[in-house]
Amino acid sequence: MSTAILFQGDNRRRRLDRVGPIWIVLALVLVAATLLSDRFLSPDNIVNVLHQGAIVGIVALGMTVVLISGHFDLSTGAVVMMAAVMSIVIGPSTPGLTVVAIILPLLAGAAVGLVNGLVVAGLKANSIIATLGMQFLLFGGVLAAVGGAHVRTDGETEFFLALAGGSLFGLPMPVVVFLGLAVFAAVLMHLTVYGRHLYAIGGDVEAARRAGIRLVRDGTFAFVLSGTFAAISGILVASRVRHLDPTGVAGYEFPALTAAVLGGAALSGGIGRPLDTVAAILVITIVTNVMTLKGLPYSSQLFAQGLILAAAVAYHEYRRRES
Amino acid sequence: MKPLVEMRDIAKNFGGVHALKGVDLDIHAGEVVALLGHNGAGKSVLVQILSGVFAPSRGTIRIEGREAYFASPADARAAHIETIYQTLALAENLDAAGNFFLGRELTNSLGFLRKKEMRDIAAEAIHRLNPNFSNVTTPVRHLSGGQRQAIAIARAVHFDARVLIMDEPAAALGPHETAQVGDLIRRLREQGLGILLVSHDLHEVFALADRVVVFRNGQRVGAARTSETNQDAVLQMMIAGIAEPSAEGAGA
Repeated sequence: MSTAILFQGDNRRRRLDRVGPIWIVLALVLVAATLLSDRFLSPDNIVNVLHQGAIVGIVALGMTVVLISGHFDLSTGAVVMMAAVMSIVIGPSTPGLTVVAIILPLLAGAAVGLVNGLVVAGLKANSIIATLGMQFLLFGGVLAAVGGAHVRTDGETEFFLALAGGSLFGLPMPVVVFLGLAVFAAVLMHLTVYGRHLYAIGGDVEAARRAGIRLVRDGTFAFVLSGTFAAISGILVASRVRHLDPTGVAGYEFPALTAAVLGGAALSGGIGRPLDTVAAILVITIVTNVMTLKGLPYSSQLFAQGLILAAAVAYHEYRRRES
Repeated sequence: MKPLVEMRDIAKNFGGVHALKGVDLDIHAGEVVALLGHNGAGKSVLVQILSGVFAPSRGTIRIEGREAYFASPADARAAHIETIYQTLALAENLDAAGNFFLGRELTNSLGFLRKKEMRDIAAEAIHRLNPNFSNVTTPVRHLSGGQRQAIAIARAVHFDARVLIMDEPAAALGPHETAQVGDLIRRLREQGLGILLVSHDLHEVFALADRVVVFRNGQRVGAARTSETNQDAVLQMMIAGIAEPSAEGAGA
């Protein structure tokens, strides 16, 4: 009898595990937001919420994959900035330049990820330090390259402008890209051998080694993915503006990390799901959106984000210890 | 009948330290051989040579009569020698089926995991060893030591282990689970596997093993059928045994 009850509890917990508690939080936040502001549910505002979440959300997806592998990628904020500056400096004013302004930042982002991955997975460097070092390197390098000045462009092609300004099925293009990448990341992590191996590496690197998993190759690819995703965000930023202050496009890595952790990704690796990160991005964006609608100052929004992160870490650690 | 494993005159030096000084060991199909000795006797060095972690400094290994050379654990596995490590080497965040197929996943033509098929195969293989094991989709961190062991052993058996090396299989288990592992080992022996059991627990050894081989200071100091000796005699060998001449082929 007692075991039957125990198993029931077990099953309920497992079902909760499968859904991800963040989706319940998202539902609650949606209800609260609707009650708190009658403007929240207006189509314009919903689209606005999604739009705001998309750019940092793309970075957060890459962060989630790296966290699953058991590491951090703090260079992603600098990669966003680097990619945005590259796109604008190339100046996508002709079809040819447009292609270059998209491909080159993507390759650069992937290359940064490759270096991060080889240093962390290959040389076994601590990922926090290694990717923080990469962040400084990129910031310094890009600022030196543009002489610390703002960069600007003109006469962008329709196509380039549409990357951020266009829409598909009524959704802004960055949202479409974000959701597309989220599905891609979810399929990769849950349905492929690569994803399975990355979970194993993040969960128990010794077990993975004895199972014959290629630790360096698979671990490095997680960083390549993260760098490429960050570069995509950077290109979307570039498409939105004509004129960019490089130092103004900074600090995407911490909101991305916040979202990944809120979604349930473990800082110790092996646990996390891309789609839960999407839900977490929505929670954070809705909370700040409602605070804006209510006329609360930016400082209190930061405070709320900090509170959310602390609560999320405390909750997940509690549950992991309990089980 | 030809032994499954014949190790002859195996020596291993680490720098100037002679960890193994030329020992013999045979394992036959359908036999449980227990390797006994105090810490530093050379048991775990021999185990690691047979599982491909170390190459021997001297000596030969024959598997079913053919000479074998293991440069890595993968080579040993390819020769159907599977090792159940004391730590079991399972990823706690994956479920039983995930661990069962880790590194040998089944995929469809598009490269996607065949999850249901892997779950069914793992469930059947594990269930055969441990009928109480029901849910292969529970993350391993929620499972008991005995259930984890069932996964590790079922995995080895499923991937065609002929020789199973078990390093202190009961070290992390409670009494009930130890009994389960004992049943498991007996069943595997009936299926014709050769099992090398490394254990400190003489009780367990006498309950499970057909033969004991005793090491002391890197040498083999004795061997006997468990049916023809007793714990006191074996203890005596472990403490004060004198190296026996290398002649396993002729004797036990």
